[in-house]
Amino acid sequence: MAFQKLTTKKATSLTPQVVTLIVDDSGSMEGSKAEQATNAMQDLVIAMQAGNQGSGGFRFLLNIAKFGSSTIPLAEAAKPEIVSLKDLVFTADSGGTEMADALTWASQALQKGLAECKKIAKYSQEGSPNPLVVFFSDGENTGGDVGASADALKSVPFTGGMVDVVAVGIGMNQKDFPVMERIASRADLAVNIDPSQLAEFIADVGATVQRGESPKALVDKY
Amino acid sequence: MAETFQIGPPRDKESFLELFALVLDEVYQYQERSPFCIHQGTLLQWIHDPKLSPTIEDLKVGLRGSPAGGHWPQAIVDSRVWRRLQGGSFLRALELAVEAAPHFGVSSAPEICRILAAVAQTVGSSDQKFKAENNKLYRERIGRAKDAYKKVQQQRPAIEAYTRMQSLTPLSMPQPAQRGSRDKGVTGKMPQAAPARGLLVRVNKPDKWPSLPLRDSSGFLSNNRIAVWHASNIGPSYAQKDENQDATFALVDGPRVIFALADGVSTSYGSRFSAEVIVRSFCFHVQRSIKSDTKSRSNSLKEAASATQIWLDNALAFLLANPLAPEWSDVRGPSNIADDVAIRLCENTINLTKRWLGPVLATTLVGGVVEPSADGERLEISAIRIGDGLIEHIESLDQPNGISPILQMDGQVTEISASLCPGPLGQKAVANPEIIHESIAAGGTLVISSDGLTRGHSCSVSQKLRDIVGVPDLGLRREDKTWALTILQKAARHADDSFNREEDQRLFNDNLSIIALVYDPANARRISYGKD
Repeated sequence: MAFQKLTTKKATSLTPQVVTLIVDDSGSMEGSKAEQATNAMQDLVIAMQAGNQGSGGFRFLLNIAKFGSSTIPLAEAAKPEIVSLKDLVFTADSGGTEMADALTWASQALQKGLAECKKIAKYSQEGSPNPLVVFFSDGENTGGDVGASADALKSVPFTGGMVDVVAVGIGMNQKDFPVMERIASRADLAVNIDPSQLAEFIADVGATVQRGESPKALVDKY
Repeated sequence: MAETFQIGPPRDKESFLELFALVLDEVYQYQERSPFCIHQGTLLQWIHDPKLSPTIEDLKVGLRGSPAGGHWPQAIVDSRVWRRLQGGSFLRALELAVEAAPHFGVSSAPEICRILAAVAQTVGSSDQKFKAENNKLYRERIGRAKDAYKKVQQQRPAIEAYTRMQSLTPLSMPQPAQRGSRDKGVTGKMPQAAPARGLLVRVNKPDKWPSLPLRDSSGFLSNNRIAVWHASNIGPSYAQKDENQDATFALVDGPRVIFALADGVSTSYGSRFSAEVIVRSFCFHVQRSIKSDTKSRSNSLKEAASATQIWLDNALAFLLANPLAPEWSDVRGPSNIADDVAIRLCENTINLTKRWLGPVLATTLVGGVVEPSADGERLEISAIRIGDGLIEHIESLDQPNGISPILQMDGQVTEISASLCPGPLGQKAVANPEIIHESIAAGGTLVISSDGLTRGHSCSVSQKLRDIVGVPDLGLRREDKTWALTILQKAARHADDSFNREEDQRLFNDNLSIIALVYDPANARRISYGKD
């Protein structure tokens, strides 16, 4: 196991990273998937809280939401230490799977996060890691077409590079998976994982962010 | 059988008898509140009954709950008796005997039962002769037994004790006595239902817990021949560090100097506290170890690192066993992490169930000892490194090859493969640390540094500092006792100036620390000639 010592090459207090996580909380997530999502998301926030130590400012800003028939924000442009673990509970009772609405929220939250970063004296967006968005869903999109929302999210201005959107299907039917490829910022950032791997994947999101690794390396493991 | 039963030499080994003394002592402490209750005959029957043939595992099963396995005597597991035993001196004695047995060379359940039978004989027998002889055995050995067991407990990290405490389930609550039951006990009253009793292992605060606020340990020390300057600093303000997690320490021990530099892993909870503890603990352990002339320097350094790691284990176990202890604030520092999250991080440090969460109290370490060679012409260096950090030897800052690395590191590499920390990762790190031995000519300077002074440039640390201060010998003078702190402050200001001119310049982007050692045997001669 490697121990992280942060440098300018990764997220720092002058080059923080905005991390956005959107998790499907529709009825089909009931049972083990919702439980894994709850435990793993809490662990991920703990990892981000630990990763934020030692710095006068913040290295990460978090946007977290669950979605079903509507999108329920759990954290917006939040420093990890103010995210309440008690709020990170997924119960699979949010109704349908309105993906477009969730993507619209992600776009707004990401811009809010970047605006917070710009308030930092000597903030360098060019030197900051790409914003990372990870979108999880296990089922068929029951809402409108995701195209416009997905494009808007991927187009959020970022002078340091581009927004990385990873779309994660959780045991998704193959016939429903093309929507994830539409959401991801590149086709190779769409992945369909076995439901039993959900907790591990979320943990790897945290490790990827901490180490400043590329999201492709994360996806390639699965 | 019971009347002829007697322990003692030569049949019983000294270590066996010491364990008997230890267990009897435990019973004496609790006997007034809860009598031993079990007759020696029952315990001897346990040994000799072929239908029972207990193993150590059978004894442990009984300690964890109702011993339904069938290898306990009915006289003990009878529900009325079993209820009475809960929280009492018999089960306490058995628990201690099982726990301590391996350290006294006792390896079988029959031997443990024999010890308990002797205890029962001492506290319960009507035969004064056996009581007197057993008490004599006890008085002659109890001091030694306690010392031996205390040493074992100090060597074995309390973390194991804490882990065992977490894994053992409390004994089941016995059923309350029924009205009209014939079991009214000696007093004629109904026996009280004993409370559920967990197998509690005491976890004490380790010795030498530092008192706050932690004193800045920077400074200057010297003997006649070796001078050492050391300091740490929060680093340039552009780096936005909220605390200084580097620490340095040194001590003079006759002709030698012992030194240590620790750099807290910035994302590790409590790493500032840990760094301050580690540098002191390491140096004092090296000093203690060196006093034994038979130990090689390598062994002394490894032992010191290991002893320091054990201290961290004990500290973590103490904190976890006492979540409300005020010592948590010593460790927390300016961290905003909630206490329940901190506890999760601490627990994960022990059980490592979540590999992506780093350990708490983690630091790197570069430490060692320098001493004159036998003829006094050279300086012998022995050093240990866990994680990163470096040692450079300066012969001359004005010549091309005047700086040579003794322990190198790559300033661009940001991940470390090991750190000194509690738990299995720390134990692994001290099992196989990096150790070097070197010898340098008199007059040279050693520079020891954490990674902070390597960041943002590709020179040696010594050369970079030379460029900043602009003098060939870095301005090292015995008269300037604050040299180390001064040079770090200059380095931090220089880094801030660079950043303000050009924001891509991320020089020294971290906490900073330095130790400089100069060996000057001529100084000793000047002193002896009265020319200092």
